[in-house]
Amino acid sequence: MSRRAIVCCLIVAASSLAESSQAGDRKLEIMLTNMTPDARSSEASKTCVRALEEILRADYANVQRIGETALRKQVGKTAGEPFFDWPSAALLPVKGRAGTDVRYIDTLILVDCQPEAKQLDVLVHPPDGAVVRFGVRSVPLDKDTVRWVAEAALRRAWSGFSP
Amino acid sequence: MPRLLVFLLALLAATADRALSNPVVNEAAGRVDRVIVVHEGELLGSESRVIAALQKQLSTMSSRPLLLTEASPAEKAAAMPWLAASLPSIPAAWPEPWKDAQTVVVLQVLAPRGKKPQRTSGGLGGRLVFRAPEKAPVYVERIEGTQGASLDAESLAKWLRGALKIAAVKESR
Repeated sequence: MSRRAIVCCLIVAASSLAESSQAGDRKLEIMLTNMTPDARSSEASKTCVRALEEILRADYANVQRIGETALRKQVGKTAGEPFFDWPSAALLPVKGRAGTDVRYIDTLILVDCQPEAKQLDVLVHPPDGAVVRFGVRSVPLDKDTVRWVAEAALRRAWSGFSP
Repeated sequence: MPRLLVFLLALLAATADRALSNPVVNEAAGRVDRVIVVHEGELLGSESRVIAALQKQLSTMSSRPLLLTEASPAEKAAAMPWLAASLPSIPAAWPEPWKDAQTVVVLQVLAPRGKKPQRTSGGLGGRLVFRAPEKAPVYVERIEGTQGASLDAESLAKWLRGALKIAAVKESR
């Protein structure tokens, strides 16, 4: 191989390295918890939460799950307090020590989906900490409705995100 | 001819000024759907522009007349408790303008930040969907904080189509 070819190869390799080390491109890290009470959990409920999770995951996001018990321990609310009223500050510590392989959680999403009761509650704690709460009542929770709520939640989930 | 042109331009400007306060179509007999914009103080020019862009798309969204208006004091009083932090008690009656409505959608625009002339939009706050005859909303989206999502007519229109669809589900079943 000629010296000129080697130089060309080195230039190409250097430029590709430079591109791969550019900052500013990462997925949104979401931590999702199914908060549906055990007594009201059903296959329909689990399907609803899974559908919501899939919609979140499809929008350039990594979605991890944390169980309700583990979450409540981290938040310090182990007496069954309704999550819908939890303030932003209470949830903030969870983002830094979720006990997972990611360094930081951008967004927490808590979901209570009860299709039988036509009731869906979603709490979104986005990167800027401005919590948004979604409540659906008396509406059949079919695929279209879950998608509609998930898309609204997803829009809020990115609020304040910085790569 | 120039006089006619001036008259037409003046007419156009007057129509644009009233765009938000006038219904997008004449109220027909029977049920209508309503979109109410709740905000603190005066809307910024950029916010009015988004609402006007949304208004242009309303005619394709519902089989019923769809009216977009700024909230009257009574409408604001009915909506705000649901947009605030604690869940309110269900009111005995709807505001008068809602009585002919099948669906009422409330969009909250948060108060602008900063001082004139450098104010910036507070963005999209909470949203509500009421479905007659229920006095409690079937959908509540409530934000904690003073900075909302960016106001964008396209995404608002997409969301609104979904809102009208889910509010109509019960009717068709």
